[in-house]
Amino acid sequence: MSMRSRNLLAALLLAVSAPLCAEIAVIVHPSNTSAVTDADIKNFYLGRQKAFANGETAVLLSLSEGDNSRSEFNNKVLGKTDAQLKAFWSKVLFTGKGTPPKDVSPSDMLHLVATNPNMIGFVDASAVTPDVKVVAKY
Amino acid sequence: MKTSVTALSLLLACDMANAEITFSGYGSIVAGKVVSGEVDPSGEKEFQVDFYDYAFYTEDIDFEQESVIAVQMRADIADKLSATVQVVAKGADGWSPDVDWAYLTYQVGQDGTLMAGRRMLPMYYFSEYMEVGYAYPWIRPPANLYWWEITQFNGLTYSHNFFAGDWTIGTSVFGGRETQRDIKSHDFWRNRGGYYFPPAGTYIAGTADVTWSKILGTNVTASNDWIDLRASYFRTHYNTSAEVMFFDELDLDGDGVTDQIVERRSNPDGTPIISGDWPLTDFDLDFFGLGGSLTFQYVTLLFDYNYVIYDDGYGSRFPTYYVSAVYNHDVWQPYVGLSKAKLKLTENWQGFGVGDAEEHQIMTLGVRYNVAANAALKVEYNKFTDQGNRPGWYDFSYHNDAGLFSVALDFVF
Repeated sequence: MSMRSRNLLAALLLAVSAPLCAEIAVIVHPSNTSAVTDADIKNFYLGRQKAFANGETAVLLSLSEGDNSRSEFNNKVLGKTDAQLKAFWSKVLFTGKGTPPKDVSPSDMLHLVATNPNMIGFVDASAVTPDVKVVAKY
Repeated sequence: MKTSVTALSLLLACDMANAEITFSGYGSIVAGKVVSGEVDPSGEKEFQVDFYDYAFYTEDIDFEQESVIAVQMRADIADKLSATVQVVAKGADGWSPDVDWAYLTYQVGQDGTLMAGRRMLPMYYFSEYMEVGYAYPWIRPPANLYWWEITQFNGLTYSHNFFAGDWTIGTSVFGGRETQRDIKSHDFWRNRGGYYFPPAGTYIAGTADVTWSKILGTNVTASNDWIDLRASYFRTHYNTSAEVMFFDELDLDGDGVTDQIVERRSNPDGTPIISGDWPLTDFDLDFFGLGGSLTFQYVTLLFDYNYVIYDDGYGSRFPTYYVSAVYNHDVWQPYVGLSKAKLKLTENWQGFGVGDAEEHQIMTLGVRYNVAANAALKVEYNKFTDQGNRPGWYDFSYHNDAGLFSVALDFVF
């Protein structure tokens, strides 16, 4: 293998692994003082839990399909592949047992969570702004 | 007419101005072909895949039997009230759209939900979403279990969910009724030596109607990170009727030999003759089920055991089960499955005898490939084996052995 192709390989590996190393931050509105545990986050995103500890309904946001942080969140936090999670939410949606999280872009996510006390979402930790509160990092 | 429709839509649009309406949907394009097996009484090698919609494959490749498209519309009417309608069009039904779901959902407190209207009847583990191919691994739930002519009901469902430690517990009670008219599959079975044994001289012609009244049941689910269990029970009153005809054998010259056969389908007043209620067409039905899934790191195990009791003349009992294992790679999900169904007669109806009247199994082997974020391609082989062993006409089991090869593209949007 020539030096050049080895470098290319290294670059490729870096490109592939870079998103996997990024941290995910789970975010809520700064005024939301409810404790949010790892179990709560999992239960919210698997449709089992509908309200924060303070009794307020939790409105779920997810990142649009194709966003690396979305797959990483599904894998790391929920322990599901994208397809498994999608299959799960289609069952819930088409039997009237719940509504899947709304898919938005990272910038919309930050804006929506910053302006709605009921919302919970997640973004790449490096994108977090002071307008939202981080409740967990993965 | 056009104007009034437009006016109506405008009115609706105004009324709904504050309501958020969301559209979603699902669909499947399925092609199948019988690749091996024995000829049944119709003269074809057939593989039945959907009793309710009268769908079956033959040796000719067919794209319409199981292909389906559905659109769901949900409107949030008020803070705690929403309306959901699902319109489903199936190839087996000539693509005519049916309203399979139409219900109002009212949120009761934080944990309760009251649903009123038309919904799928929660019988088997996969009953409520058996049309949503994308939501499960296989091309279809096991066809020898999911064989009912009634799959929906009109009524009320109240469900209540709560936490208990690491477990989420869901409970629901439901009640209602449902009638299906002109069920072609009854004719399908009869023409293949099926299970109708009407009184002498009576012939069950064409389609039948089936009513399930006084449906009352409950579901309890318990799930945690890796286990999902579901117990179900309901009771209903089953009634089926059909237009029948008689063949009057006339001996005109009194020599003991029939000279003329007259077909009679209507009463003297001109109305069609309808079959009456008797212990084989009018009885109580109890359904018991225990199913679930266990998710391990790479493998998901799925199972469902069911027991159905007919309080009919035969004392029919239907023990059925299936087990399936799915390997979960990121995009590839190979799977195997086995489903088995039995019919036992426990009462001696007019000398008909007791014993196992029907027994068959389906072995399934397939793979799901998640081609896109919202679409899955599946390739599956099913082997249907008849295991009934009652001799001759006693055997309710008209089923022929057959192997089916099918390919599906399931999607959600």
